[in-house]
Amino acid sequence: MSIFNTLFPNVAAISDEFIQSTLETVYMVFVTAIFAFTIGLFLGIALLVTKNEKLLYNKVVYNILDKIVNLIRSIPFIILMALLVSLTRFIVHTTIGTNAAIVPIVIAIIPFYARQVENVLLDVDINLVETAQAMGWGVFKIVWSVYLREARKGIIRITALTTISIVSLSAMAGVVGGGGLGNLAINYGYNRFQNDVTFLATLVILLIVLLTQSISTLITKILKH
Amino acid sequence: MLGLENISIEFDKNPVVKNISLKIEDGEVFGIVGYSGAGKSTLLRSLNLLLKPTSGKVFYNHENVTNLKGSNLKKFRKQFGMIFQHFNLMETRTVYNNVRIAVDKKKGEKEKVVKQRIRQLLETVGLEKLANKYPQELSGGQKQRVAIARALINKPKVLLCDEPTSALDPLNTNTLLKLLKKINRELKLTIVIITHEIDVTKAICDRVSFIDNGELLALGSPSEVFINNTTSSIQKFISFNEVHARTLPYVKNKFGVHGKQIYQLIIEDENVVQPLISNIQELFSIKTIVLAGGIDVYGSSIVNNMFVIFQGDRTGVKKTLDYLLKLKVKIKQHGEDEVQE
Repeated sequence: MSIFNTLFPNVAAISDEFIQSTLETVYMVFVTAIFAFTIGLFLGIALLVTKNEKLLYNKVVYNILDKIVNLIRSIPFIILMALLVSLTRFIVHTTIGTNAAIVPIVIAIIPFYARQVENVLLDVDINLVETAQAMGWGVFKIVWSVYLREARKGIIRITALTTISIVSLSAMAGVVGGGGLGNLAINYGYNRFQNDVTFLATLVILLIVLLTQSISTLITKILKH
Repeated sequence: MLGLENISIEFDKNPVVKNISLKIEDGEVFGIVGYSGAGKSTLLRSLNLLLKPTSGKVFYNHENVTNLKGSNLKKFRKQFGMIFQHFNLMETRTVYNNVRIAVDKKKGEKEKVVKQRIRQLLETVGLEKLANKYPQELSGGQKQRVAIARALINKPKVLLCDEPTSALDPLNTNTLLKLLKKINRELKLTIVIITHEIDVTKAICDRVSFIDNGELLALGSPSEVFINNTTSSIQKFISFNEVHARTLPYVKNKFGVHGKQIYQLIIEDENVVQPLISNIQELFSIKTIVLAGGIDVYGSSIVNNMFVIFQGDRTGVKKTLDYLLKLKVKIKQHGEDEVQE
């Protein structure tokens, strides 16, 4: 412990708070991921099927979804958080803390993820749709057994990528009272010049990112095809 | 029986198929031939309503199916198996699972029975040893055989083939055509096959239709369509496809036979093995110069297609022609302009 104390004297002083912040970050990333990936996946599929003339082609619906996705993606996250204050209060009854941070992150990540889902699904050989239709398959089965199956490697890849984006946004959310490692690094590292806190927070964040990437690589390896 | 009645199909107001009517009988191998972009694929897709015709009617066993929708349409499509030029296999599934996913499991059917069925079918197409391989590990010919197994697993009545050999080398093409012929015979399966290769139709088709620019120009047995039909666009198509039709203009140019009467002799079946040319010389003192030609198999008939010049006096030539006509040799006169380079 003595080496740690010499290297990170300020962290040692707030060790409980540091662990607490790490857990907050993990919590924010995890909960956001669950909501954003579920909704984003559906939105991505909706974009795909409403655009494809062989599936559930609907120009109006596609255009609306497409514009919403583009719009939200164009708003800088820090401004989006400010914009969404009322919504956040409505959903979680507060505007500070980790739960309050999760709302804008989910909203920001959904279109980001949905667009990537759409792109990954568009990479699936379009001829497979015709093949499936020739077998008498409906839209649901085509999406499930053709698109999601054939694109599974791509989906894992973008999910890992998006998880890393969530980590980054969660740190940013920390600055405006969201808690987590971002908050800690600003409060102690930036405002009180305790660089060792910033440094260790960075290390922990890197660890989370590394872990995400390793899991993604591992799953891809297991799947092979 | 499949029937199309006055089918027209348009894409964005561009007519791709123009007012085509045809009937395909049960158990026959029916070819749709023509250049790329002639509307063959579009026509094929109207048979299982993958494409709904802009106008006209589609019949299946005398029943008008043109306006089927929803689950009825899905059920209708299950009467058809379909294979494609680029195989369209799922890359994340093994050979076995590519077939398995297509299985329409009946209520109460045991997985063991399904497994047995798939194994049997894979054996029929000669892939029993590759069941656990992935498509990436297979050759083009093997991939197409997986596609055939997948198309046949639910025991369809009709197999639609969209240029199934275009991406294959000659050896694999041959194997595949033999396999198609085999399943046509053994399973009494109707096969509709699109191709731009005359050799493919000669090898397996009972009847052929020639489509050009969205129009049906000819319909009949391969030899009727490709030898006896004088429609200029078919003749032109043949001249790119058939060796003798390609050779003739070169021979004419090189040896200066311009101005001489060239006859095309179409000698079929038992006449192929008769010494006709020697007979002509003995009987009428007519010498025959062969400029181009070849003996070919068209489905079930054998045809010797020859381009010749007769040397001798007028009456001798006339007698020769009469003699040949009596033997049921088909004769066409080719003037200067008809055979084009």
